[in-house]
Amino acid sequence: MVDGSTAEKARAIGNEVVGARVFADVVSLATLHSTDTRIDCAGLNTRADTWCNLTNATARHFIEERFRSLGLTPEFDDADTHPATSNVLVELRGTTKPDEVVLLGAHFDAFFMGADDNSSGVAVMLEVARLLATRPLARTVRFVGFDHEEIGLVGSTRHVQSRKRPTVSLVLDCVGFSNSTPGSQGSLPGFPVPAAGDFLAAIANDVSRSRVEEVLQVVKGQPTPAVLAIVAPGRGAGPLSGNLMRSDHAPFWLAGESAVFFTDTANFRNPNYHTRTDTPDTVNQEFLTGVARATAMSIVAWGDAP
Amino acid sequence: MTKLALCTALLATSALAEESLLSRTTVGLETIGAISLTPARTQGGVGGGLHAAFALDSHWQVHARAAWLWGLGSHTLLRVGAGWQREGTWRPLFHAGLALGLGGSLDFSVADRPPSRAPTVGLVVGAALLRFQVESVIVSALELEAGLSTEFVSFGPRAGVTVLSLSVPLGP
Repeated sequence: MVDGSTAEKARAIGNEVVGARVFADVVSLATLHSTDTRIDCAGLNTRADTWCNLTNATARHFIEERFRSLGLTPEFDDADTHPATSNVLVELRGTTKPDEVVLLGAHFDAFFMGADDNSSGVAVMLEVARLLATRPLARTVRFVGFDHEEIGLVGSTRHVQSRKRPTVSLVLDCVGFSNSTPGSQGSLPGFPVPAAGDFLAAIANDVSRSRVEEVLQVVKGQPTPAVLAIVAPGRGAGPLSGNLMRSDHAPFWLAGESAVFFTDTANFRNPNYHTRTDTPDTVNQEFLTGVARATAMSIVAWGDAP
Repeated sequence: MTKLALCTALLATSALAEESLLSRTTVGLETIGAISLTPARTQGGVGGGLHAAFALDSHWQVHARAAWLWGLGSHTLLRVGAGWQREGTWRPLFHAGLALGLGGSLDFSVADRPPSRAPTVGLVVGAALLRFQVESVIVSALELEAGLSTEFVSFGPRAGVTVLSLSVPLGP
């Protein structure tokens, strides 16, 4: 439960999101992906038409430069994986509870232009970093660009294994596509989701259940997309809930840590998923802006609560 | 002498009553699958459990069942109810009762309401058509159950199948 003054502060900061800036970052990142050098896909036992169109280097550089422009000093954690992995991160030290860390992360590797997957998530993360760069919260906020999510959550797994564990994490992956047409939202048996694909899914497990309740509380009545909270049982690793573990929050869940995942549900809604048509013109700026607001509100609520 | 006779009669009556109670009580094991589907929760899985039934007369019985299911996490399914059964070797049973699901589930927010933390409660009716008594053992296969569930936010259907059930009387 978020107290009233923290919720008010969270909403005020969240409503400072500049949608045009977020969308411009999606365009910039997607353009960089389209011109970047593809990773060396030799030896990856995967479909060449997709996997040999994966890029990460210039997007990482874009995040690095943005962090520097905000007056922050990025860190890298290079690893000699195949392909090589390097997360990029910064921390905004907390004022009164600096040892408690709230993490906001998004993967920056992408297939083709990767506008929705996952330039949208990176752009939202950078906007929240901009909003908080000059006004630290009670807790330390860590922003992480995860590398090689697409290959198998490589960067986030390494992060969980090597860094101080956050109190709570919010992971963004595919947060820019919406379609209000009834029937546009796909699903699976046992997932009673709305027929129109214009909601934001906020996915938690039993450990992070209270966190997703706080998200619902703080965004209630705010100019954000409708939020559908989904809570997976246990750690979320059951055979029937595996589709809820398809991004960088999964290593946190498996480690028993509290993490929430924001997504537009990717291929369950977006026909451009992992194809050449995942381009900026398919991203809905209004939806993306609302997601950025919800993200900022959640991070502030978690980071500044007494 | 009169007192002795009275005591003997009382003891004999008590023993008969105990014997009768035990022989009217059956216990057993079952393997089941069940699912509850509401807008706010999906809960279900497959697993096994225990059950006990008490025959009120040759047709009517009350029963209690506890099962542990895995699939969407793990949860405990408790059911109590009453039913009617035919006499004879072929003993089909028709029953109704309450179900209570505790534990793992896939939960969803509905409108502005956060995912429910309450247990799943259901009303169920069922039929065990492939149910037979061989000597004192009751064997039942493919018992079907259907009903309505709620987690106090929304309502939806529930269904279950008892794949195989074996019951024996506690007494002779």
